[in-house]
Amino acid sequence: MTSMWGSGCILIPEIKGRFLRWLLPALSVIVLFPRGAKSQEDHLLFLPSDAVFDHLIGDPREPQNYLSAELDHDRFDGSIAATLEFLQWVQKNQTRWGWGVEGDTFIQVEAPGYGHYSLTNSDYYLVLPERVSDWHLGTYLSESSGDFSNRLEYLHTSSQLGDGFFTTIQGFPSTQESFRYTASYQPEERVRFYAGGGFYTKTLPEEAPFFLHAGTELYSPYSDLFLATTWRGYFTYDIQASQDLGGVFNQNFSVGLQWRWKKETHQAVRLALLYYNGNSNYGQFYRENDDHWTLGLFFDP
Amino acid sequence: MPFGCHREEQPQSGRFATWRSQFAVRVFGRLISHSNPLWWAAITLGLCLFILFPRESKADEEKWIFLASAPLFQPLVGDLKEPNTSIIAYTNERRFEGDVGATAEIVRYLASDQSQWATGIFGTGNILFDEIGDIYPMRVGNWFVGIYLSESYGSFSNRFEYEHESSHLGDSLQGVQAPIIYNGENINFSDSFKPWEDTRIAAQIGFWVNGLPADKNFYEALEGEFYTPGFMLGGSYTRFYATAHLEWKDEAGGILDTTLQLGVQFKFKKEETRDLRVALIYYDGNSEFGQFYLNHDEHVGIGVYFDP
Repeated sequence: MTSMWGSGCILIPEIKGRFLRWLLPALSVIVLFPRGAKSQEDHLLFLPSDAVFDHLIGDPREPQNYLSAELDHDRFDGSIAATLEFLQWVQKNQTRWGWGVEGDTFIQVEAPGYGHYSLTNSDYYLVLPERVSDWHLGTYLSESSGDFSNRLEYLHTSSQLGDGFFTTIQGFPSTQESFRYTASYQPEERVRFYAGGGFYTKTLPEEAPFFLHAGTELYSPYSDLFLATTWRGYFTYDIQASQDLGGVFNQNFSVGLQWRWKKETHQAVRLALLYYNGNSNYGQFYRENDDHWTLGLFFDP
Repeated sequence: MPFGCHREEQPQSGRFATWRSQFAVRVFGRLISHSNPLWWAAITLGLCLFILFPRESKADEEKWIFLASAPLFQPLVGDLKEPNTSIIAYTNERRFEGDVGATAEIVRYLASDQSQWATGIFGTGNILFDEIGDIYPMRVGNWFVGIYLSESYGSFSNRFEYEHESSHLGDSLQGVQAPIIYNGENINFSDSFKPWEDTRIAAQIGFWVNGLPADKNFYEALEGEFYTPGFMLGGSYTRFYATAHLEWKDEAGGILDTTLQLGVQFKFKKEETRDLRVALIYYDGNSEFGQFYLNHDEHVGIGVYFDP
């Protein structure tokens, strides 16, 4: 290893230049902007608890936390995500603007289901060979006014073959950088529609750059549960069309239950049955058809 | 032995059976047949929520908080393995580290003696990647997922965790290095004492109940967090901080990992838990990434942390 105090130190300005170039101006904007909370005036909020744009629960690649089991394959998926809205500008007319970052990581493991690495082998019961992991990191600008909300994202995405499959599959560099715009319309609490599109500014392997997506979320009325908590049922449909491989449609259906402490809070736990049809969402397997049912437990921050 | 080399022996009949005929067997079979305690812990937690909590009076309802936005036991700032979201640029190597972490506190109980109790789940993904031009090949990734029970009373807070960890070699090293199995489950207990607003000390002890390599059994850690008085900078509540986290593990023949941080923390309001931190980090010990747990690692980094 290069000694920390040796020649490695010369790398600081060389490599970290880009990191510091965005870090310092961003920090200045975030920290030094004057802020207030006077309800009758325009004001800025720093690190607000609720984001301007509610994430799309029907889109399997939105930032979300979940554990799920595929019902027709011996596979489990998990995701850990964080969205941090740095600044939110609330105007007098209640139009809100938000700017933040989002990070998301998806992992898929595959259980052999027998033998030495079996789930039922009490010596190694959680040795689940990793099949693939995808990592997303990005920034967004969002706006909300009345029933409409909008979000423009810039995302870096990479996909890594899992080490459980090194001996059987050859991985390849899979990375994309993309812009994605989404417009959302929620005429009432129980109905939401969204649509948008985007393009890749850089993609490996090379594919055509444009993609479209759309979907809906439908909810039942809230019902009371224990200790004044509430729950409701929901259904979502999401479709994404891309030019990959000459044209691919990925569809995701989900039906589930959403549990909340109070109606107005954002945090929720969801239990859902999902059906996915299309090509794999994981970059290392984007050429493969993927058709599966999933039972998932979701935690919305 | 690398993963995956047994796959050709896998029986095919179940895999290609229709989902309709396999649905019940797969769902219920998975739930009831596993000896995996994580499954059982999750099921027990769910049953507690739905069975043991009675429908109580309005006054009693105020004792319960569900899905709080921040955990009762605040993550240890100096411990790089705690759930956090960050990006760290190593200054002495062409490497970056990215972390995505989340905690969902399912329920919190406010007892009449002013103590608080909470339980929830957490997960973290850590990735280490190189920089080669515009490409960032992955070297290794660590994953943590677990459940916890925490308690807080006055200046003291405690947390008991059951945690699963696994480490996976990055695909940029496919064909270069054989992956090892580094995984397992541990139980750990953390005790935190915060006598003053600007000082926190904590101790942690953990025990691996399962997993590989087999030589890891115990680990212990000590942490100190120290903050300067806060001040308003622009519209932000700002303060500087320093942390030291010392962790001893008996794996690899016994190692001491030292993490030091010197940073600045920004908040909207003093009482908020959400913050943005920028820190200079020094790490010395064996690699935190399980695939390289035998390798010495000494690095300095600049990190940006986003605490929810």
